[in-house]
Amino acid sequence: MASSTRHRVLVADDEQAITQGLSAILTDEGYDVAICADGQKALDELQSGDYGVVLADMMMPKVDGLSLLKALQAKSIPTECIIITGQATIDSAVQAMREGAYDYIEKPLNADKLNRLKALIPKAIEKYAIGQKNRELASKLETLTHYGELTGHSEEMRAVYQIIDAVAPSSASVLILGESGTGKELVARAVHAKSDRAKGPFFALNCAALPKDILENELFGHEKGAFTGSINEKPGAFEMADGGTIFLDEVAEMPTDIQVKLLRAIESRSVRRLGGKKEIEVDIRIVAATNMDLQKALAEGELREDLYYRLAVVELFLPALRERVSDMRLLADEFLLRFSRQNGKQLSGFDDEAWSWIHAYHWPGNVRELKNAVERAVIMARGEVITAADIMPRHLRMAAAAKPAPAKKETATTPARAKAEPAAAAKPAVKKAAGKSKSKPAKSGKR
Amino acid sequence: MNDRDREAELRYVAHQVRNALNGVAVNLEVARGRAQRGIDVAQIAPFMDTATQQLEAVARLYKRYTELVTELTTEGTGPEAPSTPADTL
Repeated sequence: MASSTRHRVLVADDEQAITQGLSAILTDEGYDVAICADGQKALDELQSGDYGVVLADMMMPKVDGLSLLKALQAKSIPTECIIITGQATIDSAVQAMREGAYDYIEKPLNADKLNRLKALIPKAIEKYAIGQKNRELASKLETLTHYGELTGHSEEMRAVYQIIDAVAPSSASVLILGESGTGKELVARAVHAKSDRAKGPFFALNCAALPKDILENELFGHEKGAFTGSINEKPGAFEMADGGTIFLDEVAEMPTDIQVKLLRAIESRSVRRLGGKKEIEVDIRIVAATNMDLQKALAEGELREDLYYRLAVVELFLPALRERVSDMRLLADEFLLRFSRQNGKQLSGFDDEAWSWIHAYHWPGNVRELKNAVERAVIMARGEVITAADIMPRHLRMAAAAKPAPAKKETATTPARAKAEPAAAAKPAVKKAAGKSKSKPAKSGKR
Repeated sequence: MNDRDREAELRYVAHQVRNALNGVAVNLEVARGRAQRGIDVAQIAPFMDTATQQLEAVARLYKRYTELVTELTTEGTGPEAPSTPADTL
């Protein structure tokens, strides 16, 4: 057996001569073997123990092999079942496979069959171990509210954490898609932190924030005298991220001629500084992000298709805040605590009206907007709790104040009003806050 | 004992013969594997003993098997009476 840990195997058969023999063979193979003389005992043992594989005879007293298999499925007991069957019950063995048995071995258990069994067990254990890892991960994620610097326990965010967990150990390029303010850089940092490159550098570069020449210089560096004023050599982002991860934010906004150079650098795993002659080999992982409509960017030639395929080995979509309403309370409370401490304020929380407004507002600027709103509210709050008026953006407050006093149930801070306002009075400001991304209509509940 | 009872016992005996032969095969395989790895004979002997016991069980069962077949072929009238051990096994 290849593994250093002793995996547990349960042999369920009423024939003592067979169970003893199988037990000895499997012990010699390095397994920790237990024996049960009937199906019911096997079921009891499997419920309390952690067995990677159970070898179950089809014909057993009390609970036969097939019933045992059905019970394992019904009770969701994690183990891989190999059925041992006589020729007369081959149809049952086929049925067992349909019921989820890992495999079956037909009697008589001669040397060939036993060798087959010896070969089957490590594979079954590998399958069990993968399932076990997934179960542990799912259970861990179920209660998880934080992942790296990311916050959220919604189903949408748990799916994101699961993808990060799966992709981080590989060297695959990751393209993160999501609206502005959803936390794309935090995801990139999490991918880096969970990877084998975690001890290496993480270098982030916003491709939309820099003019073309400076961006090229930042990416690839330059040699001394490469251009007027370049009195020293300077390594670029690729060299600085060597052995680690480079995060290219807003990658679709990169000028197309630099996209060509980027593609070449990714393919050759080497860069040439501006004004330089030699190729410098780099070992980097690329994580890129964009908030653009990719199909449109590809169709309009803003993003080269060949570069897209290089970058998007794994695509990870970050949900907008309005699509994970269940995370709003967690995030808002966390920001409240953080900014209360920073500002030396004693705030106990948000009042009901504030919560209603937070949950109803469509947050075009996503988590970033919520964070800023809470920070502002903490600074502006006069009481011990944050009210709707404290947290509401200025343009919405002003729009609400400009209107005649509504009936009590139709105050400016009710969910219905909060949804309506951004669509009218606050539209330009909201659009600006959302950047180029499309903001969906406000929703009052989870998708 | 009528033919139906004899046939039921015959099926049971056949099942037991198969089980005993499996016991022989499995225990011989343990002995073979351990002998190949040069493991001490004390750790091989119990499996050889079990294989022997299983062979003795096969012999006993086969005796009963032949008795039942004889009864079915000489006294019985049922057309299902097996003509050879292989038919039953």
